This record gives sequence, C-alpha cells and structure tokens, in this order.
Amino acid sequence: MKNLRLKSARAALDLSQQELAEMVGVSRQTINAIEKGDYNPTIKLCIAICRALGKTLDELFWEEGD
Amino acid sequence: MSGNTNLLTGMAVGFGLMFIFFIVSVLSPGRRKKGKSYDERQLQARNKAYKTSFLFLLLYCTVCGVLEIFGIKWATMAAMLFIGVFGSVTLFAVICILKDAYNNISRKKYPNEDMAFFLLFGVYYCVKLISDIHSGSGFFKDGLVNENVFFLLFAVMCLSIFLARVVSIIIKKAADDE
Repeated sequence: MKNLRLKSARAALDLSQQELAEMVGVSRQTINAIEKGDYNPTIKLCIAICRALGKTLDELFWEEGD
Repeated sequence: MSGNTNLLTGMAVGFGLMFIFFIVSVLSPGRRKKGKSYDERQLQARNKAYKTSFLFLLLYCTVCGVLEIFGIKWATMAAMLFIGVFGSVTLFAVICILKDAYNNISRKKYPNEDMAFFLLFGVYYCVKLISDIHSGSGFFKDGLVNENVFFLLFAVMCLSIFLARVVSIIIKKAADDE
C-alpha cells in the first residue's frame, strides 16, 4: 500500500527522495520503495524518517483504522 | 595438454588481475573513508539473493550427482563444477542488481566504465567462443561439455550483468517519472 503521507510530508519540506535518503542514511531507492509501498521499513528507519520530516509515527506510518 | 596449460595460464592471469584489483580497491584512500555500506532494504535483498543462489547451487549439485549415479555423463568434472559456480555467482549478481542492492549507498549510480567493461568482455568472449566453434575446438566434444565452456560461461556472466544493469536503469527511470 502506497505511503502518500510520507510523500506529501517530504514534498511539503521541498525535499527530494535523494535528499531525504541522505538525511536518514539509506539509498534513494529505499525511500522510493517505502513511498510506493514495496518495502516495510524497520521501526528504527521509521523513527529516523519521522525525525527528519518533523512528524510523528502516527502521522506517517500508522494505517487508518488501526 | 598444451590447451589445458593455456587455459590454466589464462585463468591464473585473470584471477591474479582480479586479486590485484581487489587489493588496490581495498587499500585505496577513498575506500577507507568510513561510511555506510548497505542499507536495511539492500541487506534484505542481498540475503534473498544469497539464499536463491545457494539453493540453485544445491539443486544443481544434486542433479549432477543423480545423473552421475545413473551413469549419465554430460560434462567433464571441471566443466560441471565451474558451470555450477558461475551459474550461482551470476544469479546472485543479477538479483542484486535488479533489486538495486549490488552497489552500496555511497556509490550513487553505476559507473559507465563498469557497464562498458561487462559489455566489452561479454562480446569478446562471444566472439572467442564463435571462432573456437568455427575452428572445431568448441566446448562440446565426444558427447561431453569440456573446459572450453569457460568462454561461454564468462560471456553469459558478463552479458547477464550488463543486461541486468540496463534493465535496472530503465526500471529506475520509470520509477522516477512516476
């Protein structure tokens, strides 16, 4: 399932996938895979992404209705 | 016998060059910079690639063993062994390249020199193979695949890696455009 909240949070800060990837220490393809829903990141990576984007885990990664 | 000596010499030179290249790249100053290697997604993909290539090798050895038990000889021992090794290494490399887990995160894109290297060597070994077959010293003699199959294996390996990289670039471009 696509993670559109991550994509929009990244776009809101005018960050490219490459820039976000560098901030959290992963490859651009990993960020792309997370946004497309092709890869489920570990909690450690989720937290790093939330910190980089200034969001909480609920805002970026919790599915609706959980 | 002289054919085998040439083959062994060629292999020794090839492996020697690879070993020297490996030592130089490990000792090079740029490499010694501390940095991240593979990220978690890449490690996961590489683990799957290791498993797949290991299972391929296991299955291949089992099939070879069963054929041997039934007295079905299809290749010399050296050819059989190296077909298995080349097959599993090629499979590992292709899976890693397609999953973008071949280069670590500090290498942002595939260098063109790498792609040119694999294409050139793939074409070279294809041409060598065709000329050997044409001159009668192909890899299939007396009903057995012999050591001359190395040229075919090298060609398949190099061209597979080149094609996997091309496909990977196309997939990445399509993903970027989305």
